[in-house]
Amino acid sequence: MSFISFSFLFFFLLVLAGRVWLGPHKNEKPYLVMLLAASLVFYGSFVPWYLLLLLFTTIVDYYAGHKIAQSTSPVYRKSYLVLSLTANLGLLIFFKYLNFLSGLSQLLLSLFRVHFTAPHWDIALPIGISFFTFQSMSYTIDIYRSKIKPERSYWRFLLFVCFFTHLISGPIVRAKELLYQFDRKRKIRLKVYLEGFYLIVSGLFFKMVVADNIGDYVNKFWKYGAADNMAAAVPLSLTVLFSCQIFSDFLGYSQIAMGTAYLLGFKLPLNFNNPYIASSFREFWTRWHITLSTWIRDYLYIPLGGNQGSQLKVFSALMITMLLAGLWHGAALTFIFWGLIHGLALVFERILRTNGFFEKKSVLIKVFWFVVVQATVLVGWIFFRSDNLGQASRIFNNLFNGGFDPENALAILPGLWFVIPVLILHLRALLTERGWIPAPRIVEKGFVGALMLYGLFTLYGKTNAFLYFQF
Amino acid sequence: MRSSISNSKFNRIRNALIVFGITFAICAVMGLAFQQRHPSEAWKGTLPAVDPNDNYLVMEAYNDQAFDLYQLYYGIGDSIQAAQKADVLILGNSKPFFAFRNEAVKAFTQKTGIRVFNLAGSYGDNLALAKAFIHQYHLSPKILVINENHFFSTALSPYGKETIEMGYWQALVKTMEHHLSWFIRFHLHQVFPRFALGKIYGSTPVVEYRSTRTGCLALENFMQDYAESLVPVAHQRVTEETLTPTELKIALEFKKEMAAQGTQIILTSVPYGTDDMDHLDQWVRDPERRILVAKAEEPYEKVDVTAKTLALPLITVDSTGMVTFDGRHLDEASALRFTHLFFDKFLKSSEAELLLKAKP
Repeated sequence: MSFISFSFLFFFLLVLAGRVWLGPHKNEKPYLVMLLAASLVFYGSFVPWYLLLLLFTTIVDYYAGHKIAQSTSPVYRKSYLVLSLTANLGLLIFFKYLNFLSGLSQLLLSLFRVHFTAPHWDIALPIGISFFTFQSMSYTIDIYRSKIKPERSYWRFLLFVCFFTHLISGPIVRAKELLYQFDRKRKIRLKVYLEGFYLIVSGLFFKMVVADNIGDYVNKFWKYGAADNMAAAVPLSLTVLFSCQIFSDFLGYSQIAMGTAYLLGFKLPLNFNNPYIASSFREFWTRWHITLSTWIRDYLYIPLGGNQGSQLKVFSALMITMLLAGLWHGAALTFIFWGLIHGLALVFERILRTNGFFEKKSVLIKVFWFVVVQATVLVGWIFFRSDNLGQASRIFNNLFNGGFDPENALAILPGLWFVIPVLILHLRALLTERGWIPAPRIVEKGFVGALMLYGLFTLYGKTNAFLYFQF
Repeated sequence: MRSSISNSKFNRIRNALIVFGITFAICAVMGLAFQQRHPSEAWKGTLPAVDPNDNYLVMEAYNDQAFDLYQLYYGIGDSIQAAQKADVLILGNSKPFFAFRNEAVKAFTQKTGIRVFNLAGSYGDNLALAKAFIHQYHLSPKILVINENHFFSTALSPYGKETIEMGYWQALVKTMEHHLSWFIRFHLHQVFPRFALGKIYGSTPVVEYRSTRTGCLALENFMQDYAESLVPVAHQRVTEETLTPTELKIALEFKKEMAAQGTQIILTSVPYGTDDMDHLDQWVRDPERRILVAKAEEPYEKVDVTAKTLALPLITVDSTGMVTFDGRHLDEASALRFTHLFFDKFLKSSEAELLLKAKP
């Protein structure tokens, strides 16, 4: 069941009633049992047999985690870590990348004039697999690095992985961020409830009003952005619209996830922090899909050498990390290219930084680099959204076309209304971060919450599935 | 001290709630005032009236859900019972779905007592899904009317595939979701109108009412949007094109299977659009429609040859003057005319005579 459904509303109200009835105080084992049961029902409601995958991953990681902690032999510790990584990555490769790798092998062999028809398997991607495998894997890696101790109870570990608020599309929560909260004393407070409702309303607003309405334009007109000699205004508007759609879609999901978790007495990590005010590529990745970017930083970039070693080693680590980050989003060349763009941008920025480019305090340089960063991010979205590299490159080329196509441009224009909330959100954050205006107070949230709730009732668009469900 | 801190916290929360309430109330009042002044820009939950003596499934277009298929395939609601009782079942893709209109079909049933059910769906499905229905519910009508338009194919549309794979529980949940969503939104918008601002498809939801008694399209609220660019149906053309060997094999097997259960097949051909260059010029400004035109790939008259090959009776109607609203599907007036003309011819057929004789 999707967050945007009446089934979920009823389901959540039942769980919330359980929270009031079972878990208002300290002794909350029944409450956790109820949350576990609810989470399994939630995930089983998509396709029941996917629960077996979830159980398989968690059993392997729970077992491996204990064995790693118990063992003093580095060889054994490493073996159990490899077992955990193999199980998780194996599942991911099988369900997500098998056909891609098969097609890729055909392409590579054809370069050597070896003709081979790659098999194609009809494999459905289990929902949320990219998220829960990463989450489960981080647990065993953290134990291996002696950062956390293994969880004694399998059921609590299972709840950590499959807690329904973050199971399908994140945030990717680490064990150290959630497991301790199971023991935390929780009280029902009005302020917490209001904050939770505010997060849910704002999440629904960004998903159902902003992302869904923009999605109608993007879905209808994207292919026209790639038409021969299409005037630049069309692909440019579409790219801006898509950048707002994907942000609002994923922000919406994350806000709802945080809000529902909040109402149930848990705090999930922040996943988005106004990424379109980032003034450097490095900053962008501290603001966009924060839990994924910190995951790949801690478990991929740093093990690859991170910032240590020669320039070449650092650049290679950056490129590999970003290519794999692209591949994480989907088994397609477009996502790899998107990762490549960001990898190259980070490398280039690092070269400039090493050469003291950013040490000059010139406002002009800052503004210039901000524009470069955001323009590159926009170009990246073209590859992210396109069906194939050909379509993406045609849209990219059209960005430099002259002329004006009033008919198509005017047809897209009304969609730009829904860019306004994204602009306001980012402008407010920029002014707050600069210290020019204070952080939003509860009264302001009351005002904005009322506007968003009314907008939700009166401006919702056609319901599209969350974009990140496909990852 | 402690008490003053909690008092101040309480005051802040109270103030926030007051601000919330006042803002929301102002928005609501202004929204209603706007709706009064600009009714075309704000939808107040009203839809055209329909015959209250029929039952309908209201389907919202553009929402990627085939609720009619879910209901029919899993026997939710009373549609499938009506299909089981029907003397004549209509099968095919979206062309017969739009062509056989409820009003005309009901008139025919009232006149003759012959019960008709339109099992065609608007999602491009053909034999594969039709057979799934027939087997699932042991449908054995006296006559099957098949619209031959790539009908004898084993392929399922994404919607047909999804329907068969989803299972009863998912179908039930989705259908309930849909009904509840309609019910709530319908009432919600009486107080909070839905604004057209920035909406690609306008403020009013695009809906189709499908009768659960005849399976036919009873009402829709989108065809008028196409009124200025109607496309005439294709001219009669003779063609040698007919079924592929695989299609022929599938067709003969199906004919045999139906004959074994005492069901007679009649072929028909619902007229559809043309890729005529004059119209292409009119449509070239709208890329979506341009694509539709480009897809109008073959003249529909190939069914003449197909009927002869399969030795099946064929009922076609004079399509002169008929128009489609989108290049593919008949508009309301043409569909009503088609339905009347079809059943007039049908009544003169030997199959209908046998059917009428068997009626008490």
